[in-house]
Amino acid sequence: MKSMPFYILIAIICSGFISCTSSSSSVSEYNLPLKPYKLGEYLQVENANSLITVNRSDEQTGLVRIELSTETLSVLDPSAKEARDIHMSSGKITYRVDQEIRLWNNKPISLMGGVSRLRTFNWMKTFGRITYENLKLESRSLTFREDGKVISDSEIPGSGRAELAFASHPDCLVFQNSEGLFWGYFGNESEGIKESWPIEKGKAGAYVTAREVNGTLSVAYFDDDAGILKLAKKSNLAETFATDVVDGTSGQTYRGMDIAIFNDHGEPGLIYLDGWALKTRLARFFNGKWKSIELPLRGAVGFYNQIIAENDETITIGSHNFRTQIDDYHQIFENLATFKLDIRGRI
Amino acid sequence: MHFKNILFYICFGLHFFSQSTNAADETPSVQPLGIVIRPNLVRKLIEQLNQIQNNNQNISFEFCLEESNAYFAFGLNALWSDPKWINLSSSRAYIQAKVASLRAIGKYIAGCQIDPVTKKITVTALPPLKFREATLEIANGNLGILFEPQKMDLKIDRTEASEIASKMTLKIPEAPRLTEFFNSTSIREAILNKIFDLTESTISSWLTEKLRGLSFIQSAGEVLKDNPIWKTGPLVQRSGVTLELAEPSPSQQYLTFAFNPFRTNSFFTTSNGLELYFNATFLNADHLKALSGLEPTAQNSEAVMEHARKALQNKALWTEGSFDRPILSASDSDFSLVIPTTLTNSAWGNFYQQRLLSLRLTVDIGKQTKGLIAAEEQNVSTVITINPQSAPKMTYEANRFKLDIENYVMNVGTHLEDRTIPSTQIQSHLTIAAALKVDPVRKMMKMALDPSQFELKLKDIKGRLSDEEVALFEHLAKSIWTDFFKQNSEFEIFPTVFDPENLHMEIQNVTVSGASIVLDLSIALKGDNK
Repeated sequence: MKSMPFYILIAIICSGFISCTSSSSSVSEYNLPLKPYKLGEYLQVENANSLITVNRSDEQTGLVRIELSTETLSVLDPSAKEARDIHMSSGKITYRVDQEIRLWNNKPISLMGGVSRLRTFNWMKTFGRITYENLKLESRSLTFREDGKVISDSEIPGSGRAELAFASHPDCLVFQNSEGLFWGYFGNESEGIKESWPIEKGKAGAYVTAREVNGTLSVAYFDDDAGILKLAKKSNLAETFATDVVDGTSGQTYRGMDIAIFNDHGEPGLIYLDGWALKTRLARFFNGKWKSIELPLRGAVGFYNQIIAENDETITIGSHNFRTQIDDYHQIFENLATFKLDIRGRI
Repeated sequence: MHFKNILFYICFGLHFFSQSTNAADETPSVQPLGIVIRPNLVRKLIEQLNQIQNNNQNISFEFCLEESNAYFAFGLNALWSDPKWINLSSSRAYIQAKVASLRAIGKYIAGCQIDPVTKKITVTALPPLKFREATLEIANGNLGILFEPQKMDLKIDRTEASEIASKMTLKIPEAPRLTEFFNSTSIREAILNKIFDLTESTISSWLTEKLRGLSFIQSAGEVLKDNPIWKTGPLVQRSGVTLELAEPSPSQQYLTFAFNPFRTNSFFTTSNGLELYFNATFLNADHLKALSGLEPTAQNSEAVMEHARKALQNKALWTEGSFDRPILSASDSDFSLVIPTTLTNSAWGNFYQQRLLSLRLTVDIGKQTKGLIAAEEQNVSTVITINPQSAPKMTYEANRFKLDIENYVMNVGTHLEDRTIPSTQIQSHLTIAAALKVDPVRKMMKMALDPSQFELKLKDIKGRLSDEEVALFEHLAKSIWTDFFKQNSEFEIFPTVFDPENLHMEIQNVTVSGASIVLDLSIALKGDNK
């Protein structure tokens, strides 16, 4: 311990032992499903009652499905204790185990090897598309059938960050390259990016989440150089993206990892991680301005945030706690957490 | 011991250098790398020649007097004395020695010819060949060698050939009439001139071969092939703390060291010896491509090197000499290396800045806090990535060398889950005592660092650490770096290029002249070297 860099440790410990800030937002139904297990990394939402994640405990290990109502766990791929980069689309799951990408479609299927990162996954009725980086760190796109048969494997102009459907294009990609962050759309199952538009020039573009909210494409991303959270929006293809700083002060904060977008009465609302405080934050847009708060959750919390369910009154959030502070003397590590957040009022 | 071995001793010092390129408009900065052959080496070589006689060995040679249709082959030994280095001008030197006695024993046969192209001698006498014993003796005489290094031209002084020839006796005991014939003045002078021609051409061709046409090129991969830091990581690993390379494999795989003489003003003679200066350069993939005409990324590296080596022999590519020639002192060393500090710093910048100094230090906090904060070991660690913003620099102060690494930025972050969250940046200033050394086995100039004289100062750029925390980091960093330098105290700087071939070398003295370091070296001419 004597040679340990205490500053970092203090950040981790302090963020939990003392509940750092208070908030007027109302958190309820806070739960740690299947508490004895190490759960919640790379969390994906199958539906309001079912989550996909990895269990890194010694028992019931691997890629797992969590039934929230019954708090039961079923193992989908027991050999995937080191599963990472988990993505879900239309009931199908892709994930990376070391350098191998697997597809789970009622059973695990090996898609390919020689991969350093699996970036995105989108299933489109008859084929799936992933974007990934190979061991040479080249960014590529692979399309495949539901039995895992590869259709095409081609280079793409940047590293995939988020995949979604928007406007008339079911297969859109947010990608990043040396010039900046871009949005574009793929052609058919054998084609690459057909057309693209810049979102922001420069280096910003980590932890990207994209979603259509009320007909508007919202791309939330983290500027890790500045340590701030940004949101770019546009309503139609022809429009230029309008970018806002949502939270943070350049060089003074590190806010904006693990972003989840929810529908906040027709506007995008954001749940995300403050990397220095190791706290979950909430940002909402009122009267043309962004306002943000830290949620009153104790511990080192707020990783891999996902919106499990949403309506005009509450949103249900799933996330991973690195450390959960149970009380002043009791803490546990590596848990899945779910809770509700009242979004009726303002913050 | 063969004649070529003797010549090796004479010339091996020249073999130091090689070259660099000035390919097209890619003009690397001028780095004059020098070698000085000191007069003492001549004295030492003469002593070595005398040992041949003491050991009852000889130097074999043959010649054909076509006018007389006479073939001779001899084994020669001689006793030499009073070697002198006489500087004639800034571009000509004269090496004078006395022959106390010279005796050659061999054989003679009538009938020979010399191929006009290959110069190969063929005995044309019809079999069965009946050689007759022959002896050649010179009672004493003076021998001088004129050396014009700018032309790499070496000539034996013929002005005293008549006098030496008059003291020469050739005997063929079985054939008194032939003996009488070969001892005529004109034949004796012809024989002596043949021996001189043979000596000059042998030395010249050996020089050309040994100096590879004064061209040298070697890839960083070859230079650093035995460097454990270049090949592997982690560099330091102890309980909960790992210092390793930030990148898994060398990124500058096409980096190449090369040198060649300057087109003019590359060679000088003074009373201190013979000075030769070469333009030493580090070439990247673009330079190699321009030079070799091959794409290094797509071609066999040996082919690229061979093409580049041939191109480097083209004098048109050589740089015009324009550099500050250091002022050298007299020395009783055998030769000296003149190494510009810009070259050593350039080596650090090219070989080590990006690859070997971009490191990652991981402190496994989960391991260290197991049982303290959490019962189980947690997956959390502090990660310090280290990226020097400027190359290390070798400086000379207060009679000692030191290696300074300034503006060395450490990004401190916490690795948690799948990401590293940066916390702050620490700027460091690192100083360590350094010395240059020659590794005769690896044929490398090396820099040896002394971890016992290591200083480190840290500054929190972001102002997020308290003084106590900075002191804590300083303690941690110093302890890790000291371990690192203990394990890796010697760093290759560049190839010496000359091939010492088992000869023991010692640095006698180190001085600084202007912007150059002068290493005076002595060499032990012992053993039967190839």
